[in-house]
Amino acid sequence: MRELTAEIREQLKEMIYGFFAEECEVELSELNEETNITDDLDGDSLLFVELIELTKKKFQLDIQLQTIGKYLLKNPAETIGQVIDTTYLIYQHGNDIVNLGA
Amino acid sequence: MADNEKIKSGIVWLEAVDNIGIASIHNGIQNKISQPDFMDLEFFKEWIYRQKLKGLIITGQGRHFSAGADIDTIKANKHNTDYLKDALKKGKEILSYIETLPIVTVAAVSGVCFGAGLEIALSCQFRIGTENSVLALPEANIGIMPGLAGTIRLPRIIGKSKAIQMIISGRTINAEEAFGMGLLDKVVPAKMHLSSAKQYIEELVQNKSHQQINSIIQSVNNSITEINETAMNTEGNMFAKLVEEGEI
Repeated sequence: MRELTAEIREQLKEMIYGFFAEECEVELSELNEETNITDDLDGDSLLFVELIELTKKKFQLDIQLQTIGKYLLKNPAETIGQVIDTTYLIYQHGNDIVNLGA
Repeated sequence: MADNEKIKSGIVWLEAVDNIGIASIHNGIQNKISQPDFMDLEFFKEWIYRQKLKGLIITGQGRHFSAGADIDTIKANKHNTDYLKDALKKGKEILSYIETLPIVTVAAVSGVCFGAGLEIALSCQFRIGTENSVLALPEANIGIMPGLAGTIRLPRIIGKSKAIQMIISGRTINAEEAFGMGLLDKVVPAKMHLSSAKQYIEELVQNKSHQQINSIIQSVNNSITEINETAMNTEGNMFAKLVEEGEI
């Protein structure tokens, strides 16, 4: 399991907020952990696909979208806070995230 | 038909601006390809003929190019494979027509470009993608395979071994990797895909006549679709016609 340091947590959080602000064309100040990606940002599940690719590239992670998708079916991430928590788990567990309990 | 007028065929909106046609896939946020024959081919042919285009851009309306086929439609026809085969044949005819158009064709890709969406993009001569583009042929992950000639066009573009790896794994490819393997011809900043595609075409065709563009692309197409002797003879005829009628 990869170590999730405070520094990495902050980098991931910053990346996620920046991603949603840019993709959904909203100010960073309008976003918080309760922001719902579908209802508040008119987003969709495909945004998560882009975010995973960005995370893979930025943090050199070897993860498959298919495995993340299986995890998300059992553990949907609907708010920015939930996306951040899921991304922490992806960083720590990689493809083994699929073996984590619901 | 006046320039700039938008018309719709199937899930595609068509418009022409400055002799460049723009075909936008427009089907919800994800731009799903609801059926393989996603637009009326005869209608499209007639539109292309009327516009006297130098280039055509295919893109997706909104954030994504296309999330691919509608899996529910495929599942609903699990026991109606004759329908599926017929629809795929019609879809392939649309893509073959696009592939053999004697004008410059560019797929302007943004966001997700999966499955049937990527197969549409593969029918173009060039693909320009934004930095956030994600491409895949993920059909193998759900027990099927690409059905709109993805297994045929992808190896021609990126080579056999890379195509087999990408199709069997169904893995996602980011813009940087896609550019490295030749799947994207250019990577541009987010939201710049359409303007970059227009600029790409304009730069390529500037100071060239319609006849030159049509002849050059038709002759290159002939190198793939015709026997060598026919392609050689046709090239000679085109050359002679340009000398006879051109400004040389």
